[in-house]
Amino acid sequence: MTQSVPVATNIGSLVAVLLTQFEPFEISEMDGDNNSRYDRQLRLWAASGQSLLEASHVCLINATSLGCEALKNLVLPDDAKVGAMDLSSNFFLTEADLDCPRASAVLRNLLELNPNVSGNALVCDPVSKLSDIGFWEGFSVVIVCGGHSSTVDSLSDLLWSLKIPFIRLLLSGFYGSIKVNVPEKALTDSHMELKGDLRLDQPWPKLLQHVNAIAFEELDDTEHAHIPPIVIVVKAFQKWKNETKCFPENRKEKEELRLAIGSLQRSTNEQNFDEAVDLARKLTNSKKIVLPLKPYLTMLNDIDWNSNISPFWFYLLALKQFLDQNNGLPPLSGDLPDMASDTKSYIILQRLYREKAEEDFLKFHAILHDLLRELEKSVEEFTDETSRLFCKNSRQVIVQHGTHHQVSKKLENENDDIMKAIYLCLLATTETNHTQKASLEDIERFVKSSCERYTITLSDETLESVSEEVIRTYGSETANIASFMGGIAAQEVLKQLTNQYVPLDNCLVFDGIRSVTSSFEV
Amino acid sequence: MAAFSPLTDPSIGPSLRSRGPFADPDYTPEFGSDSISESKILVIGAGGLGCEILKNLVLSGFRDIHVIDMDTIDVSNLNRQFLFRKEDVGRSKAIAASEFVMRRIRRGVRITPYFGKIQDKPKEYYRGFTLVICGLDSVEARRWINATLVDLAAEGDIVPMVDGGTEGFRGQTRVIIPTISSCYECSLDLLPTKRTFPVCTIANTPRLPEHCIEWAHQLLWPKNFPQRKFDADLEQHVDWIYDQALFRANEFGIEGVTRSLTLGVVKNIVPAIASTNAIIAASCCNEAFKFVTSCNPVLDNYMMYSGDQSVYSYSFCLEKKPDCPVCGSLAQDLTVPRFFTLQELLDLVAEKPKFQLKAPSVATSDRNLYLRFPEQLETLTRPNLELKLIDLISESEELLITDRSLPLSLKLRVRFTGDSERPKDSGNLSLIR
Repeated sequence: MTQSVPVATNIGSLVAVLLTQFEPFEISEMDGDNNSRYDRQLRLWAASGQSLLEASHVCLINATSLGCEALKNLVLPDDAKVGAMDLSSNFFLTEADLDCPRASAVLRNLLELNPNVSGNALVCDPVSKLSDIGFWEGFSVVIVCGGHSSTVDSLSDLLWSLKIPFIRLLLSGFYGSIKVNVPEKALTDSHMELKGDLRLDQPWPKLLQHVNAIAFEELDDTEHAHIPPIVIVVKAFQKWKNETKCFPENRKEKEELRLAIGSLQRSTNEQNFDEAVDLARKLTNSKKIVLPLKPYLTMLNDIDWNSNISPFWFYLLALKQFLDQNNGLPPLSGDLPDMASDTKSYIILQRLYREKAEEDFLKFHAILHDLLRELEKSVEEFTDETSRLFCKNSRQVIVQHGTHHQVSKKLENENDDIMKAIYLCLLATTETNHTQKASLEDIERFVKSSCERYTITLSDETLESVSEEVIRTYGSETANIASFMGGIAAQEVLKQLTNQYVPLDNCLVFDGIRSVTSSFEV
Repeated sequence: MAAFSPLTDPSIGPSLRSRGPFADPDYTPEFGSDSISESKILVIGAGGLGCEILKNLVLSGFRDIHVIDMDTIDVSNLNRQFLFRKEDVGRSKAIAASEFVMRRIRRGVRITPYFGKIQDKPKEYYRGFTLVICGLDSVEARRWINATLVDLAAEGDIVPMVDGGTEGFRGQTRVIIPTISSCYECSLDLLPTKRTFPVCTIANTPRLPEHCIEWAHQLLWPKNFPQRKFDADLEQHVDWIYDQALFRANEFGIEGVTRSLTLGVVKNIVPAIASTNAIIAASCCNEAFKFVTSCNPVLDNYMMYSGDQSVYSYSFCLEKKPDCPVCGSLAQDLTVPRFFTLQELLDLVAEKPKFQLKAPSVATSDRNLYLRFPEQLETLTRPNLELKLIDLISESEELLITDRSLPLSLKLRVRFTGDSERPKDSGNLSLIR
């Protein structure tokens, strides 16, 4: 691609990219320089995330930057030469680089950031690489900044078929957009804050036995003030169930249960009983918890198990059998929150929860391996580590279905007209090729025809203002907006590579004039 | 080297050389261009956010930039503070950052570093800036600069403050126009409180690895080394805490004490990544650019960003508080029990999220109740601390509370409630200092 095509030259996040990368990492206490260097980020995604980053290869096309945290090999296919625009907005180019191949110059200045990152600069037109599937297969993520729509669309199709995540960034003046193309993805480590699955209403036999063995009335005042709130609720709930034969559904019943717990309290100083009342307030019927995965369970019948399907579906099948064998209760996570309790009671409870979680995992694991044998599937992809993660988090696993088109009817769901207009106008700038600069009419024509084709409503007034702003700043990249969008892209790359947190699904627009973002599905 | 001109610059020129459809009707390109060339910007903090801010400001056409930071470079900064290299460890952040940017971008930009505290500089120093951008990790420093700028605004010199902050995948940007928009102090109670554990849990019923670490840190260290202050930057100190915490954890059968966790707890480490700093710094500089040039409207006045569960941001106007101790003029009402002593009132002022004054002095309009400085007055007023408040002041009398570390004064109107006798079991339980 050549110089006159608008190219995003972000600075900030490329920094982000390279600095996260480093040589083979050992999971040990931080004692050396390298562990200290990455201390602040290891606290976010741990050693497991970091080693995935380390093994990754990120490709950046047509740009001088944009974030991808961690790359072993940075490849920049780009045949542009460093021009005035680059010098004006790109921190990783100096005057000495003027008229040099941009890819090589940027790479040199970037690699200087972290001696442990390696990279290749490819001075070529990516079009010439489109037929070279082997070239693309080596990458974990590909990022394209700007670029002509026909080239980008072909590349997008190719990467989609190879199931390689693809991120497309567009920029003009104060506006920016990012579109993430990722085929079906199950998120097993979303770091979502979840209500505990404490099974307060469905204690397993060992927990029930433990609770029953504690006779509240025989305890002295100190011991009584340190009974773990979980024990209190389980006991109170059992009594309630025996008397009423029902789960407290409505407000009145729930209030009655809380009063029953409160009546066991000996003095207002017993914090553990206060916590128990709170816990009872949040009591949910374990059997009625709807798994985010539920809609997929019904799709299992239609799967062709001999086709090339992802491990996710095998995990799901194992989960379904687990649920069938366990009254619809998913595997226990085993995590116990802190609560008012003495040390010994807490540790005993913690051990009960952990043992149950381990028991559930072994059961899940056995089901999974029986299935794999039955379906003649190699167990290679199903490591204990990934199986454990899926099993532990099965209550919160979510699935995202990406797309690889740029516009769809769903854009109409976005409430903010200006955001719709910004996105379509930015797309319009990629329709012209380098021999001509788009005119206001070109942009408006493209937007209007897209609106017609996908039945998207957009007021003329909004389109007029936004397209005027886009044409006014056409092709200019400011450090601020590039850095903002590059930072978001870096976070998305991170999420894709570590398989942690929840990725953008699947498009975001930034309006730097009003300082707002919108994210929506395309 | 050609002279830099904002209007012909390929990156910022197009935004400035015509009036955009969303801009103020009075905008002119000359104004935008002159304003940015003549402005003088102060950056407070040259860390994760500061490095990004300096780079963005220079590329946005600002020419005269000052930067203050009291820190030196640590190896754990290198994963995101991209203006520093391994050779720089131990050097001043402000100086190293300034040198790097000036070396890289040679368009006659002047960056003036100051290696020291913001409190070193007199109020007059801050009067000379067009705008202040903060990339700080300290609440105290933000409160200080905020109060100083509000003070200046009261004298007629408005220096806006753009404040950025990040934690993990989240962050926020806010624009503070002193005395006109809400100030930093107005929203002090919105800050997440630091995770703390009750002393009795740490001492008697530890359950989490953190409880064991805090036991070694808060209780055992002062007992064993009464003369030596704990320093989280000294490896031997952290090692000692780690060993003790691990021993206690084993004793109680608690799992999960590691050195990394120990360091995280004793230093109160906030996870930080380069990309979030890039996003927030960019947003701060975008607002600074729009404010100085008037080329487009400025954020009014708060944007929060979160990137961990998909990407989400929310921009809104945070309202000014009429009884804000910094920018408000009204006194706040505070109701306390009749048995409260002056000391207990001061403890309350130190603890309450909306006050957080750790070393307060108190006076009424005509007499001093307790003054921390100078020493003679402290000795003279100290006996008052033990006296009941109700014997010192009349109901609804206005109290003026000041804190030497912050240029602000909190006006309190105290009302009394309940019995004048202290109930038996209340003791000092609720107020652990």
